[in-house]
Amino acid sequence: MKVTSVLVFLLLGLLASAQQMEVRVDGAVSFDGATFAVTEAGEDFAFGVESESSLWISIDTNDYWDKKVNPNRKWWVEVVREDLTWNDDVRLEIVRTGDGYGQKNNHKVYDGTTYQYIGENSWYFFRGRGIIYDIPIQLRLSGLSVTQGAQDFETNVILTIYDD
Amino acid sequence: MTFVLLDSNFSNMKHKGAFLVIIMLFLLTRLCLGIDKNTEHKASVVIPDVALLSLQFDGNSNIEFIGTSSSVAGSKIEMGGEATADIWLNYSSVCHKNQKRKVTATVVGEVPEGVIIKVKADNSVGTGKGELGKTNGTVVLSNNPSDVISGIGSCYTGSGAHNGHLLSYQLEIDEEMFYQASENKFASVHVVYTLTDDN
Repeated sequence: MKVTSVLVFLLLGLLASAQQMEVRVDGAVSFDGATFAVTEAGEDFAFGVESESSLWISIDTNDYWDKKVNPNRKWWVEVVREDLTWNDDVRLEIVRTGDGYGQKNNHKVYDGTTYQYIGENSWYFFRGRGIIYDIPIQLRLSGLSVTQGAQDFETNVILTIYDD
Repeated sequence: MTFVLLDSNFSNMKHKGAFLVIIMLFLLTRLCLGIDKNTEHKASVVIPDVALLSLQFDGNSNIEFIGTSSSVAGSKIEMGGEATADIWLNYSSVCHKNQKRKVTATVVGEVPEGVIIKVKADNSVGTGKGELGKTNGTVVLSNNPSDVISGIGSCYTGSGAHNGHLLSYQLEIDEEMFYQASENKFASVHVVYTLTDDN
């Protein structure tokens, strides 16, 4: 009975500690009047507005064993939009603009280098292996028009990492 | 005694088995179990209020009205008429829902006594979109703002000549006032257009 209890306890611990790999986003993106201005009276906003390159994704683990035993762990990242208040005419797109850096040379990143639409259904963004820090990403807005009127809207861009 | 030894071996084997199971599970969880951690980032968009207005024209925007002296004694001085100088009013407007804007025109300078300047903005043409303003027809200009276009929502007229509202001016004479107070002099005035909130 004692042994079984210990086993169950360890198992639970292992299951919990298996969920160690995580994706982290640093930086901030806000599209405001400074980003999209009307350049001349009578004109509309520019077609598409890109964010500054101020967002970085890190793929990390706080598990010592993961770093030591399984440094080449493969993963992929999906992206989805969860609207708080949004205008359906406005398209939000995401792109990966760099590879980031890792502690070892075995890290790799693939895909995600062309702009892709962030919809309300989760969609594959990019994949890779190993622990990587500061992968730069950019967001782009399009479909904005002065005819939509003055308003504020926001959405959550959710990035999920999956074990490959 | 023998029984005890057997029990000890059995117990050791049992622990060894448990150990093996733990190690296997450990490796399994490390290598096979899925990870699906996520993170979120808020993207916010703020579309600000915009009110931009310009006059566009081919050539210059000056309009001249020159009085013609009568050749027959006793007949009236002809001064007046209509002039269109191909001046186009362009604007971009971003405002809040239910908010409206208007374009006013104000004369800066001294209009000679008895002379009435009027302006008319046609309805918008060209590449514009949105809730474009409507003309108020022909309005008399003075040193106080006169509403020329009203009902402007969030819209843009398109930029450049042949987009937006075409302006045309008229000059009329109030004969009674004109003959009482007018002098033989050159008068130049400016007409200033303003895109403003319609309160």
